[in-house]
Amino acid sequence: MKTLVAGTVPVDKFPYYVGTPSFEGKNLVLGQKVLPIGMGTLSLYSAAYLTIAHLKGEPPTLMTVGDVGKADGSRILYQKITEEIEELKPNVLTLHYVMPIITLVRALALKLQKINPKPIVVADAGFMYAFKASKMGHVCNIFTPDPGEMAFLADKDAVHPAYLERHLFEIDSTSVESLIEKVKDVEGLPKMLVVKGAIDYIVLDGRILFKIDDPMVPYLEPIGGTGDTLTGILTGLIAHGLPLEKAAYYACKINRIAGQLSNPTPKTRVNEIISNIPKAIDLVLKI
Amino acid sequence: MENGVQYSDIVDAVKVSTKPLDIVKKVDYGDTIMFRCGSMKITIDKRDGIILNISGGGCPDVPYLFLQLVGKKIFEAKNPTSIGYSLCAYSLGKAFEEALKFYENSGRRNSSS
Repeated sequence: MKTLVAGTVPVDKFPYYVGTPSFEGKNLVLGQKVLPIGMGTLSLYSAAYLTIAHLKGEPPTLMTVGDVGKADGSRILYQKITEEIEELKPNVLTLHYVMPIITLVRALALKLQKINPKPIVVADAGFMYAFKASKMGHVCNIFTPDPGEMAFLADKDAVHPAYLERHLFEIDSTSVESLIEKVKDVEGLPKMLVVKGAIDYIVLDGRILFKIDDPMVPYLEPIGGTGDTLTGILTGLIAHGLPLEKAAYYACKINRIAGQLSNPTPKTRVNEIISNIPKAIDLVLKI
Repeated sequence: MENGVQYSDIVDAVKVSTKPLDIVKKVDYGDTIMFRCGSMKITIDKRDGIILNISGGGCPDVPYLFLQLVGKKIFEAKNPTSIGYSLCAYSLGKAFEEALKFYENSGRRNSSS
């Protein structure tokens, strides 16, 4: 399957890039430029790349551009995906870090609705915020929120997690299930949510399909990028052809085990976890 | 009515406008502690105040702030709101301020004991 991962990188004025970078452990090489794998799009891409490579699939394509929060790169990214999606024809499209801009994501959503066949769309981070705020999340197949972001999804009027209702923030991590109940009434969300946290939840049409809490690895939450790796593994498993429910379940398991294999502490860096993904895939899928 | 423009309603701007979230939650891991505001989290070492990790969020300055802040001492680091641009940077700034307050107060507690 053809897979496209799109998201910004935190390098000011980094030029627009579309291609397949080479993976070198702690870095990705994009053309002549070497970028360290910190948290964010590169961490997601690396997890997808390793998952797909281990399962002997076609390497994912990365579409990226620099943005340090000024939204300049984000605008280019929205425009390029919207313009080039038909030509690139991915089967799986994973959308990640970007400045949420409602008008631009609406244009992308309308384009995605018109494409035939439509790719399987997974949205995380800024793209998830933008789809939710524009009430166009139903164009996506999966959102991957953490508990704080679940509170944002459950607040029908919130346009960003910084603006959600206080009572929802107060209950978020202690009562994810009540937030899952609340999102049933929110329009413009995808059918499936993969809620990542101390307990991971796979939710389909408002119903909890799976709760995953084993192995319990409490130090994963503070490590920047562990949510990104989960979405990356999920992308890779969908590209391998697994049904979405199974891909989501195994992605949660593989991410936890890759974390556990790293013996993490709150100062562990995500690239240590990424390097354990192939071994974790073998343990979970019994390859 | 001014300049011929009709008004349709009068509303209290304070009542109808929303403020960004400013509640910060803590998770204590022993030698380290995590502070969270909205979807943004910052974790520091309690002993030396070093910023060990930043996670969460979705705006493009979050990975940039990660690169700028992780590994620095919280009392020497720049507040994320001064180098970031987004609402995620604002939320991280709130968590950062609580972490700094915690570190400064724990220093005072230790020096007075």
